[in-house]
Parts: sequence; structure tokens; C-alpha cells
Amino acid sequence: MLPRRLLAAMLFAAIASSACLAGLKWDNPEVLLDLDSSMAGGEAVFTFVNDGAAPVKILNIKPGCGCTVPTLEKSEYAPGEHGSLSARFTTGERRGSYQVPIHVQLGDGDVAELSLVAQIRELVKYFPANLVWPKGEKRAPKDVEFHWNATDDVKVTALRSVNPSFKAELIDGHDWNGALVRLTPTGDEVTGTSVVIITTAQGPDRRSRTYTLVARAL
Amino acid sequence: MKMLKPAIRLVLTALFVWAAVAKIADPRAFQDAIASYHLLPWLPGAVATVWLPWLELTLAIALWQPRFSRTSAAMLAMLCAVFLVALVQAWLRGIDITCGCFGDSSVVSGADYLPYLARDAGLVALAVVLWRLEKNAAPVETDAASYNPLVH
Amino acid sequence: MDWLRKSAALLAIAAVLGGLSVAFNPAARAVLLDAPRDHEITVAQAQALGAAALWIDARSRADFEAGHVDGALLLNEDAWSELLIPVIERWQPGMPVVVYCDSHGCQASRKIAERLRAEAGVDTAKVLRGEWSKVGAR
Repeated sequence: MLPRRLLAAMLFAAIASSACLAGLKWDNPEVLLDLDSSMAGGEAVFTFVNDGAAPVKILNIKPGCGCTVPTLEKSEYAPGEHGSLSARFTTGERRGSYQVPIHVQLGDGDVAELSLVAQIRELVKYFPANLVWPKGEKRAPKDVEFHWNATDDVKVTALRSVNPSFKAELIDGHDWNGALVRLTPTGDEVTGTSVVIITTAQGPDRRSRTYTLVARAL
Repeated sequence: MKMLKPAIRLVLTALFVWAAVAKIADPRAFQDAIASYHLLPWLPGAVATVWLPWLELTLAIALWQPRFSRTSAAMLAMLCAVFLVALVQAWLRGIDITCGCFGDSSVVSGADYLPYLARDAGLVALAVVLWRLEKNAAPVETDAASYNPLVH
Repeated sequence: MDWLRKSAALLAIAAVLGGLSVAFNPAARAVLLDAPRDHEITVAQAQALGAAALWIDARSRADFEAGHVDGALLLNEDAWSELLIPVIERWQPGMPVVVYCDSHGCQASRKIAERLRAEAGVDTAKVLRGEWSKVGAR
């Protein structure tokens, strides 16, 4: 009968070894990308080393979101060899915090779970996003204020109301850093909805970023 | 006639072990199936999801234990009767369900119900027959008043 | 009452095994811990809505084109502004909206449902709990 301490140690080793990402040892299984809305995206680099005794083959990489595209230099790593996996995250029209799991299927049947966390700071704040003219209310103009910091390089480049029954226009003469959009149903009898798309150019790359308003006349 | 009891035991064991393993392998699918009957609120449904497959497995194995075989047969009959009632109520209410009985995820509606109803009714019948056969087999269970240690 | 004791024993054994499965199987644990939250709808509840519901697919265009719920509209954050247009044109106040993506762990449907409620006034948007493929697919 083995001593209890030795048994406990063996059990602990068995559990610990099963908990690690077998075959490949990852330096940073979670990468944080700090972005803002003027950026097209960012790249997360996950580095690893094969600290096992046998070559390890990476069979498949599956990110949990279409917003993340992985690339790998090569698929097989000899014992002791270092490598890196890049994951390109696309901002698109996202804002806020996103946690994208990346499943890496290894040749020995194991799966490594990596995580890309993207924090996207929105440079433009606006309110309200949704305007309603209730039944019986006069179809008077309603305004939406867009605010951004003076230090953020943002400019409105286009304004479009999908439904021509709702007119959208940029109004000058406001006393804050940003823009003022005025929505007006074109007649007192107008009913229906429209999506209004405000296009901006942001940052040194003049990246195009759009915002939507929904107008509804009941 | 002698082979009838072991044959029924074998059929019930095989079916309920299969049913249990399928549910244990995919608890989420079984939870969705229970939800599709529109019978139980969330928490009782979640408890049933984790407990029912193990009950099926326990009862299937207990069929082969002389001390528990009769009780197990009776409990299986009651369990199948409960499943049958759940199916009937869904059918009468016109609900489309996912049976979830053997891990299958196909939608059951309208005339599709008939084979499932027949199958469950058949299982109830088989379990009741087994219970009767076990009852007639040996006086293992006795109550304290009639217990005679000299005969035992 | 021997049968009662035996029944109780069998029920208890099953309960212990069920408890162990919750302790050691993350999938079983998730069933008990993952209580329905506000703005969530099960597959069964969504199916019961039938043609009254507007289905929204929150995945990538490639996944959508590979297969989606019959009649669903694509709406994701790769092209939110343009994809929102047909959704707003179809939605009427009070119409139930079911947003889905790939699996229980998918964040996209939650984000899309939140934005529909907060930005587009679609206050009936709910996230599907369960596999969308169990609903009628195309």
C-alpha cells in the first residue's frame, strides 16, 4: 500500500497534468485588444512552445465569431519549437466588450481553448437612437444630438434616410463638439418607418463608421 | 414461458439503458425536449433533466437484482405511464414536441404521435407483465405479521 | 411497506448519481445553473409562435448562407446599418422577434437582441435558448 501522501501527490499530478493545454504550452491563452471605433480592427498574437517529447500538429482553428480570422505560419511543431498564432479581429460596427473563444484542435485529439477579448470604445455618443411620432401627434421635427471629443478626429460625411417620407438633414449652429441631425416626416399624414444612416470618417485613416437612427410614425 | 421473464427483462434493460445513456450524453437536448411538452416550469424541468436518466439506468440495472426486481418493474411501469400521459396531453393540445426519449431530436406532430403512443403503451404493458411475473415467482417480500423465519 | 422502502432507495440512488453527474459533468451543471434570463425564449416557446415571429440570424453571412431558419433575416455587427433596413421594414410593434446564433455559448445573438431593443425600439427581441437547427431550417 503506497503512503497516503504519495498517493495524494500522484492524484494531484494526474489532475494538474490533465488541466494544462497538453502538447503545446501557451504563453498567453488570453489576449486583450484595446480598440476604439476609428480602428478597423486589431491583431492578437498567441505564442506557444511545444514542450512535449513528440511533434504536435495543429489540425484546425475555429474562432467563435466570424469577426475573428486566425492565421498560422505552419501546422506542425517539433519538440522545443516555438510558434505563434495570429488572430485578426474586425471591428465592423461593434462597440463595447467582446470575448471571442478560439478552439485549436491538436493532432493528438486535444483542444486548446484560447480567448481574444476586444474592448471597443465608441468615440461618438448619440441620443435618442429611436424616434416615434405616436398616432395623432403632429409630425413636427425631432432632433438627435451627436457628441464626440474635440480631440477625436470625427466628421460626418453622409446622411441618408431610406424612406423618403422622412427627411434627414444636418443642422449647423450647435454649441457642442459633434453634429445635430433633424428628422421630419414630410407630411402630417405620414405613417411608416425609416432607417436613417449617418456615415462618419474617423481617425487618421478616415475609417468609415456608420450609425443608425430608427424613425417610426404611427 | 420460462424464458418469458428474462426475455422481457432483457428488452426493458436494453431499451432503458439506451434511453438513459442518450440523455446523459446530451443533457441540453433532453432539457429542450422536456421544455417542448409545455408541462413543467424551468426548475422542475432542470431537475428532471439531471435525475430522470439516472433513474432509468438505476431501474434497468435493478431489474436483475432479485431483491429489487419486482419494485423496479413496478416503478418502470409507472414511469412509462407518466411518459405516456405527457405524450397524450401534448397530442391533445396540438403541441409539436421533441420526444427526447432515446436522444432523438426530430419534431413530433399530428399523426407522428401514433407510433410514440403505441411504443410507450407497449412499454407500460411489458413492465406490468414483468411485475406480475415477478409477483407470482417467489414470496420474497413478506410483511412482519406473516413472516415465519422457519419457512424463510 | 417494504416496497416503499425499496422504491425510496432506488429513487435515492438515482438522485445521488444525478448529483454526481452535476458535480463532474459541466454539461449537466449548465442545465441546472443556466436559468432562463429576461429576454430569453426556449426552442419550444419559439416554435409555438409559428409564423407570427420574426426570426433574426446573428451569425456571419457565410454561416447564414450555409443554412438558416426558414424565413429568417440576417443581422450582424459586420454590416449592422445596411442589414437593419429589412428588419425594420418587416417588424411591427408587438411582433415577437427571436434572435439566434450558433450555440448556447454564442454571444452574437445576445448583442444583436440588446441593440435591437436599445437602438431600434424593437422591444420584443429575445434570444433563443437552444439549437436553432431544431426549428424548421432551410
